[in-house]
Formats: sequence, C-alpha cells, structure tokens
Amino acid sequence: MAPILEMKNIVKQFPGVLANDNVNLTVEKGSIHALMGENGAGKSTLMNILYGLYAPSSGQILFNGQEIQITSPKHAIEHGIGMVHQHFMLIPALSVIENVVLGRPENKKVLDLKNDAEAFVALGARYNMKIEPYELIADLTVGQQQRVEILKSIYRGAELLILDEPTAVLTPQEVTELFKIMNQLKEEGKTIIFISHKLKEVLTICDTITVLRLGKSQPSVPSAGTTREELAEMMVGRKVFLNVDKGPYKPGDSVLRMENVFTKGIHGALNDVSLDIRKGEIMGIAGVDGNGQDALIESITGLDKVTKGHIFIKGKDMTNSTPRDILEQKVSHIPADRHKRGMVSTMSIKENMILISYYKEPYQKFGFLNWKFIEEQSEEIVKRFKVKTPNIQELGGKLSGGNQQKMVLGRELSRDPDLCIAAHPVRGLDIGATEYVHECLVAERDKGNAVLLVSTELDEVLTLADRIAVMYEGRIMGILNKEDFDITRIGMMMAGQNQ
Amino acid sequence: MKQKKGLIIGIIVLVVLLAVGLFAPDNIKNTLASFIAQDLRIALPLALAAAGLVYEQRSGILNLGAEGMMLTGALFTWIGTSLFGGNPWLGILVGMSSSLLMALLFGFLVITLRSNQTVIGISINILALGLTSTIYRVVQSMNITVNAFPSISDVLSKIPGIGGFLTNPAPNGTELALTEIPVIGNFLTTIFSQNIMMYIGIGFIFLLNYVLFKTDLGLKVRAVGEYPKACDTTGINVFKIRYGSVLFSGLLTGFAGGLLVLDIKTFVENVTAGKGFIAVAAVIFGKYTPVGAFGASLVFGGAQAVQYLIQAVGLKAPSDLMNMIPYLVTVIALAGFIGKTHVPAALTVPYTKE
Repeated sequence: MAPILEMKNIVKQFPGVLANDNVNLTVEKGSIHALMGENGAGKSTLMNILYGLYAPSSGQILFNGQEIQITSPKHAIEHGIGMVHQHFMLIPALSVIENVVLGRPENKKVLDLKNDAEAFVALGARYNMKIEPYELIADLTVGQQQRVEILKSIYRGAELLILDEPTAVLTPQEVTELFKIMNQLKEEGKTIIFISHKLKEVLTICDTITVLRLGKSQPSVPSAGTTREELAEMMVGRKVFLNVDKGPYKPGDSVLRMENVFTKGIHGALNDVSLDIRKGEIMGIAGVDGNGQDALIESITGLDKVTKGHIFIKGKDMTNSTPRDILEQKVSHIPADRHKRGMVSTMSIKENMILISYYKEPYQKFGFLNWKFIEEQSEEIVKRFKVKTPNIQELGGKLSGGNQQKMVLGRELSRDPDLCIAAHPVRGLDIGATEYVHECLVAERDKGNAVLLVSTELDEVLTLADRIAVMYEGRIMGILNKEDFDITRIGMMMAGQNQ
Repeated sequence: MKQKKGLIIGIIVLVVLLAVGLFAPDNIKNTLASFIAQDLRIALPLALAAAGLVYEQRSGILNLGAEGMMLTGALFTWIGTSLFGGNPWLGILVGMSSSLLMALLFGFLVITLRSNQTVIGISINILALGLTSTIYRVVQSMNITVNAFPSISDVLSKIPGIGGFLTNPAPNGTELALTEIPVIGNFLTTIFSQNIMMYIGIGFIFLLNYVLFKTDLGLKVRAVGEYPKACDTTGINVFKIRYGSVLFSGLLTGFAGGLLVLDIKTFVENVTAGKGFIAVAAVIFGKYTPVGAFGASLVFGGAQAVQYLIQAVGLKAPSDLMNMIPYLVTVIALAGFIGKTHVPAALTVPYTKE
C-alpha cells in the first residue's frame, strides 16, 4: 500500500533548542502507526507541525503523494488530518453537537443543529457508541468525551487521525473499548498515528513503530517481533531495567490508620475511607484521575478538614492537626503538582531545600538562617539524588521536570520519613528518571518505612505496590493483596463496580 | 429548563398586571401604570448596555470600563445632537463613535497587549470621568437643544392606511388608540406610550438573544469565552471574535449613555452615576443572556422607579435614602446570586497563541 503521509527531513528550530532534527516519518495508509519517545524527544513538536500549529524550519510534508503546506489547524482539517489532543479540545459548557459543529466553515449562519445531531448519532451507532447529542460535555465521563473527540474528527472528514496519549486518562476497560474503535477505523481504511510511551499498549495495537530520541527519528520497526526491552532501549539510548527489584515483603506495625474518614473536600470529597498502611510496605492507590486521590492526600497531610472519622499516625490521633504537626511525625509528601505544592519555581535550589525545615535548628538560630549549614546540606542532597544542575544557587524553575522532581524527592526522603506519601511521582518524567524515582521509593520500603503511592498509571502501581486500594468517587472500592492483583478486577473497581 | 423558568416568571407578572388593570381601583391602577412606564424607561439603557456586555463577557472579556464608555457616549451624544440641530438619531451616532474609540483602546490593551482586564477597565473609567468633565466645562456654554426620539404614537400615525386606525389625535400630538379599550384602556396607554427607541431596543435585545444561542456566530462567541485554545484548533480566529465582541459592546454602551442624555435632555457631570456598573451586575444577575439581563435591568430599574412610587403615595422619606435603593438592590441581588451561575471559564484570561 502507498504511504498516506511522508514527513521528510523535518527540522524545527526553537530559540536555543533544536526540537526536530531531520525527522523522517512515513505512515502507510490504513495502518496504526506508533510514535514513541521520551519527554522532549520532539513527538509533540512533530505532530504540531503536522496539525498546522507550528511551521517547520525546513522539510517537506507529502500527503497522499502530494506536497502540502499546512499553515493552520483549519488547513489540516481540510486536508483530512484530525487530532485528538491529550487535553481534549472540547468545551464543557457546550453540548456535544455544538462542539461537533463549532468552527466548521460549512455551517449556515443560523445553525441547523438537528440535522447534524441526527447524522452524528448515526455515525456513533456505526461504532457502537450511544450519543446523546444535546447533553453537555461536562456531564460525560472522560472516556465518553474522548470518543466524542474521535467521532468529531471522523465526522469532519479526517482520513488520518492523530491520537496524543489517548490511554493516559482511561480505565483498562475503556482502553479495550478504544482499541476496538481504532481497529474498526483501521478496517475502514483510516490511518491512525498513536502517540504513547506505554510499551505494552504500543506493541498490542500498532503495526509500525517510529521512535524519536533527542529530536532525531530512529528507523521505523514493525511491532511484530519487537520486544518491550528493545523499544525502551531505542527510546533511552541505553539498556533499561523495566522490572524493579524488591526485597521480600515483611510488613510491620501500622504507620497510618484511617478510620471511616469523611471530608467535604475542595477537590472532591472522601466518603467513609478506611485504610491501614504498615511499615515496610508500599500501598498503591489506583483509580481514574479525580476520584478522590487528591482528597485522600489532603486529609492525611492536614490540608483539608476531616468532617468525620479519625486519622492515626503511628498510633497517635492526628485528625485535623496542622500540616506542620503532621510533617513533624516524620511524614513526607511528594505532591502531585510539584509547581503548586512541591516547590517554588522562583526560589533557588537551596531555598527550596529548606521549605519544610527552615524554622528548626540548626537551619536557623534566633531567626537568622544558617546558610553555611543549609548549603552543605543542599550540596549533599543534590549529589545523592543526582539532581543535574550547575550549582545550588540555580532557580528551581530553571531545572528540567525530571530534575525538579529529584529535588523534591531528595528533600522529602532526606528527612528520613516513616511515612512517605508520593502522588504521581513520575508524572511527566522520562524512562530514565522514572527508573530512578521508583528505585528510591522501593529503597524506602526495603528500609522498613511505609510508602503511600498514588498513581493513575496502573502498571506503575502493579509493579511497585504490595497492596492496592482502588478508589472510585471518594470511596475505597476494595483493598487487594499482591496475590489478587488482576487487571480486569481492578479495572471494574476503577469504574465503580463493587467486588 | 432554565429558560422556561424565566418565561414562567414573565407570564405570572403579566397575569398579575392584567388583573390589576382590570379589577383594581383607579388610583392604584394609575400609580402602577406610571411605575411600569418609569421602570421600562430606566431599564432600557441598562439592558442595552448589559446585552452588549453579555457578548463581551461570553467571549471572555470582563469590561469594568463600561461605566466610562457609557459616560463618554453620553457626553458625545449631547454634543453630537447639538451639532446636528437637535437630531437625536445623528447625535447618538456621534456618541456611539466616541465609545467605540474607547472600546478600541480597551480591546488593544487587553486583547493584543494582554493587560489585566480589571486594571484597564478601572483606568478607562478614571480616564472617561476626567475627559468628559473637562470637555463638558469647555462646551457647556454652547447653546444646546436636545430633541427626544419620536413617540410610538407619532410614528404609528404616519403609517399610511392604518395610522389613523392605530392612533387618535390628542391635545399635544397623538395618542395610542388603546385608550378606546374599556376599563383597561388608560392603564395600557400609560405603559405603552413610550418613544420609538423603547420598541426598537427591546426587539433588538430579543434578537441578540437569538443570535447568541441559535447562530454560528453566537456559538463562536460562547466558545471563545470558554476555551479559546480549543477554538483555535478548530480554525476559529479567537482575536477576531474577541475584538468584535469588545467593539460591539462599546457601541451599545455608548448608545446606552446616549439614551440617558436624550431622556433628561441635558448632560451633567458623571451623569451615568454607576449605571455602567449596574449593567455589569445585570449581566451576572441575568445569567449571561441578553434577555436575562433585560429582566435584571427591570429589577434594578424598578428599584429606582419605586422612589417615584413612594412620592406619589405621599410617603415622606429622605431623598438620599431613596437614592440608595437601586444600589442596595444591586448589592443584595449579586450577593444572593453570585456563584450560582456558570461563569464563562476563560473570563478575564488573556489568550496567547503558542
């Protein structure tokens, strides 16, 4: 079959950064083509060029054998290129059908939504999707929204569909649904570019794989016959250990005990949550994003008020204590949003290092900071946790995402915690940094400390955790022991079905 | 469902009015009728300004400079009217041009330069207050005559064929033929005897409502204020829509200011006296719809018209206290209402194309 898309020698130069360095990508018509790479490898830049959001510095794009210039998304859509962004381009306050027709050049001045609604529902039926055209996007689940996005692109005539990390927000069952739709689209002759960093998914669904590394494209490989290890090596440029070595599971005394905790919650409420985490174990919290994980952490760390129930830390009732009192119980917290809660971007590394301990001696004496001591300590943490930086005077915001996370991790773990709360600790990190963060968390556990790991990446929870609690709508649907880990079962619980 | 609620309230109000018109004693009937006529007169400028601001806010721009634009429109309508020999139509066009320039300045600062909308809005007010007062002192010695818009009965009487059927001659011109209806005739005449702009204005507000919710343009305006980036990826020019909304709203606020001047037939310093801010409040109270904002304006207008009602009943109350009523009602309405309605998600957020 002929290629539908050829991107030849694409170069994109940003001020100071060469994001795409002679990238070549050839996609066969009617195939599912994976585009993989670490953060900053240039995947998004390449796709934004294809979708008309960036202009390439040089290079050639051939679509159906003809050279085209794509100067805007409108152009891309006209050529039959559709894109489903990781953050959906849907407007929550508008209805499904309003979102579908929004911005279409062929719209009449006075909209004829009824006609479009009928056609769109019919299109949905073809892919076994029930569409309520007048429902607000805000009332749909994330999975439904994604399906609307895909259908919208098809409805507007897309022949080539770019899916940017589509599985990041889905439950395993929803992923299966998505793959069904993708296969059906493929059978109908549509072409899909699938952007992902999940090795297993890519090998399951894709025909061909192109890996980008440091802005350069590697020769494409067929997914049949390629292993996860080979792919990871292509992405990182060195051998990667995908499996984490853990010591034997020897749980000790309870470190954190939550008894029937309720909160009203700024970010969703907790509803009768009971949880027990012991020394020497990693308790994984699985669930689709936004199902009370934030509320759980906020209740433990004293950031949100507990309206009913009790929280004990090492047997001491710490319900509704202040965050400082809780942290002083040797609790450390690696927050989900490091920019909001983990660090101050406009402060230097050494200042970021003392955000939690500045008031204690020897960090200060009579209100004066002991910079000599602070600098020594910071140097040591930077070295131990391999934070890549010219010096400790560098602003936190100047570090790369991975190094920022290592800085936060270093600060929190060097406090020698009994309980370490880690929320999405590898979100946005590349394989190399991920590997390192995971090693650190496991080392805490092997030392006999308790770790609470919240993650929406099920694979991460499955590899690291000794027990898994699944959250849905602020409740714990159940706690599974290692021998009961089962993707289907966890997936059902993530979708709110009781086990 | 939400829009149905407004409709039900509207129908109830009309039924009550009709009942009063039919069955109440004469003095109550007359008081109520003049109260309603007053309310409408006060509400129209508020509602028109608010309708424009609905578009502006729906597109993501909070214009706290509405007060200043209204004031500018008022002054230049006054000057324009005198330049054109008292012609209100041409006068108000001059007023609208002046507020359009203000809106252009505002739009350039907040859309192109992405300045803080609140700060710029407040600055526009200060600028307008100083500017209008200064210019007013220079031109106040001008001999200015301001004519009002023609009344509805005058306009109807000129329609060939049916004009004589719809209206009757009266001592000072014409009156609506509604007077001939038994029992309720005078009651209705008092309410419906408005100038032609009242009818055009209310019709326009309903048209704006239709455009906002039923047309492609309206959909774009609503979308841009929610998630401009998503609009960009479907090929909508966010800047064009936002500039369009700001300029359109500028025209309408200037028009509203002009109506104030044409109503009292003169200009005084700070003639708007917070009406621009009340229009902003009407947008929120009216749930970001033109017709809703009209309803809200009637509530705020009623709070002011109640002063006349109290005077008419012969109640003695300090006038300063009476003057407070509309502002108090605004504060109370907003305090009870804010946070209960969906605010455009991208309101006050400048848009940058990456």
